[in-house]
Amino acid sequence: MKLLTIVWNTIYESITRVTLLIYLAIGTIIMMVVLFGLRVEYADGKPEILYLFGNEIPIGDGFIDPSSVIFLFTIGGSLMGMMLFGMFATAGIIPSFLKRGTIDIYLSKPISRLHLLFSKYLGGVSAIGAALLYFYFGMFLIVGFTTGFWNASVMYVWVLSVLLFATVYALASFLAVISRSIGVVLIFVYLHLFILSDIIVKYETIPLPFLQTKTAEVIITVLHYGLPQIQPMVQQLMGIFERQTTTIQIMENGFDMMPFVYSLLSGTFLFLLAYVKFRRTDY
Amino acid sequence: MYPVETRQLTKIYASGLLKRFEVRALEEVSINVSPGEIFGLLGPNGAGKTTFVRILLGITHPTSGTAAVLGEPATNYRIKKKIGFLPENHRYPMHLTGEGVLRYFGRLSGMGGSHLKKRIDELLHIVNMNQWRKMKIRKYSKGMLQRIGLAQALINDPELIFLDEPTDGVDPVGRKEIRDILKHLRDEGKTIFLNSHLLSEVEVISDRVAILKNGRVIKSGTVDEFTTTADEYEILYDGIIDDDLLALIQAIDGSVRLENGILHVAAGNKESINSVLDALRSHGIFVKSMSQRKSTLEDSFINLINEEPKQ
Ligand SMILES: Nc1ncnc2c1ncn2[C@@H]1O[C@H](COP(=O)(O)OP(=O)(O)OP(=O)(O)O)[C@@H](O)[C@H]1O
Ligand SMILES: [Mg+2]
Repeated sequence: MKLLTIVWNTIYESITRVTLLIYLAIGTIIMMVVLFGLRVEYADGKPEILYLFGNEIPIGDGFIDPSSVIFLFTIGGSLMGMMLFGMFATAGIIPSFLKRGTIDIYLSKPISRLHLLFSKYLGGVSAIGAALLYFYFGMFLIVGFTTGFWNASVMYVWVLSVLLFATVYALASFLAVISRSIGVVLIFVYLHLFILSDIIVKYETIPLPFLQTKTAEVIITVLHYGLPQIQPMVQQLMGIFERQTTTIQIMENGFDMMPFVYSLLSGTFLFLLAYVKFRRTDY
Repeated sequence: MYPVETRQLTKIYASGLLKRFEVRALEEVSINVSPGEIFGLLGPNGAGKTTFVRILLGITHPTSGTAAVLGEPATNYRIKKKIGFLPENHRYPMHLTGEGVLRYFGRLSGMGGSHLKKRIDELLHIVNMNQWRKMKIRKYSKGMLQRIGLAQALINDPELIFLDEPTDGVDPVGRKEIRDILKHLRDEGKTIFLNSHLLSEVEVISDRVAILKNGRVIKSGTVDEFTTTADEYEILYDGIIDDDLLALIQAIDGSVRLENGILHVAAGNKESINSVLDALRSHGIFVKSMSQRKSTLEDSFINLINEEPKQ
């Protein structure tokens, strides 16, 4: 009950900030583009040619589902952008909750510190979860109505995308509790999202001598399991749509749940670390 | 059971780079507050008043010593159902209205439904904020925020109320209103713990006070004990008392002092005071008034603060 009160207030607060509204606006623009630009030609009741703004999207012999191509380019293509913007819209939630004068009031209420921190965390995740739902479900409807393909895997991808964001947000919460600064949260989360997570995956192929040492390998392995596995999760999400575009087997393996499981574990660990720090801190 | 009870409460902050510097915010502070009283904690800036209240609310952890509120350790968050708190420099979520603030924090105190609704209406009237209830608090003035803050602290009808500088930024009329609210609460049997610099105000409403300096209690007692009448009369007069005359009356009563045009005389010997007055009159001095001097809380506060050597 109190948890929901805080979660709802946090979502409401995010909505009143411009950033989340811009987020929703961008989602709306992408949906409009798809709605107006998409045309499907049918032959014998089956879709034959797909046009996006008059350009034919090449469909191979093994063509299955035109919707997956659209989802791959829209949802898949904007996934990292959505994470970036989602962090931008929610990075301030915990630092402002921890400001003197605010935290005092929260801590003077009959709510445990674990409960408080978790509510704020859940508030941030829910705000972005709701924004993603708007975009994914909107795309599902638009593509469904225009092409006749009701591709429910979008909703599955939504669940996994929220999970992806939730693990990143656990990292953000940890950074927020130790630094109490939006700047620190954004810098380190972006560093991980756009640079570190790439290096972790590819370090063996990067021609830098210090990356090929034993120490580097140990550090990178620790980071690989200690932090959310961004690149592997994004690849798995894209793979869901990619596999549907054709009957030709284009990927060696099927969907792999493990990056999500590891990330969930590291997210839980990071949140618990944040809680330990939060419990010990004097405000 | 004392609603507030601390024993040898000590708080040392480590600050500075690498936490090399210690700030002794509280040192062995033992304070008991009795049920139904208004207790004022006084002290100069940085004395440790806010730290003390924060520890009692479990916001800050003590370095050593114990702190209990309503018979429970300060770390027990459940007891806060019966506690209200107005922090200094409080900040409420800016996207809410005044009414919204009360509803939100009322719910977090475990209230809800028509009971909460009724309480909000009641409090908005008590703090005189009913006309601004629908306005976003980002547009509130400082005094308005303070009033909403007070209402927020009272939302759960608490048994024990902590107020850190409650009249900060409030105009004189509002200050009087707040004092009346606090007196009313005391009459209802609530215990109130007040942090303040405004000594005249504390003097009017507090039952007991303690003075904190550099983290130590340097004196505590009832307000009367701080403001006892000094054993001295002040005599206001018209005319000129020259050195000869002064020597003459000092010969009658050795305690006579002349300070800033006012004669001070010890209250001990009534006869010699009469003789002093007679001597003055016979030398053509007109005695305008004679009154027993009552020191204010402010006087004794400033004396105490200055007496104690700085550490
Ligand atoms: N989080 C903190 N870290 C380090 N030092 C602190 C911290 N909080 C307070 N202090 C120090 O502890 C001392 C007591 O501060 P406190 O805020 O309790 O004083 P106060 O009596 O409330 O003062 P004021 O009248 O100005 O409100 C000060 O020296 C202050 O600098
Ligand atoms: Mg203070």
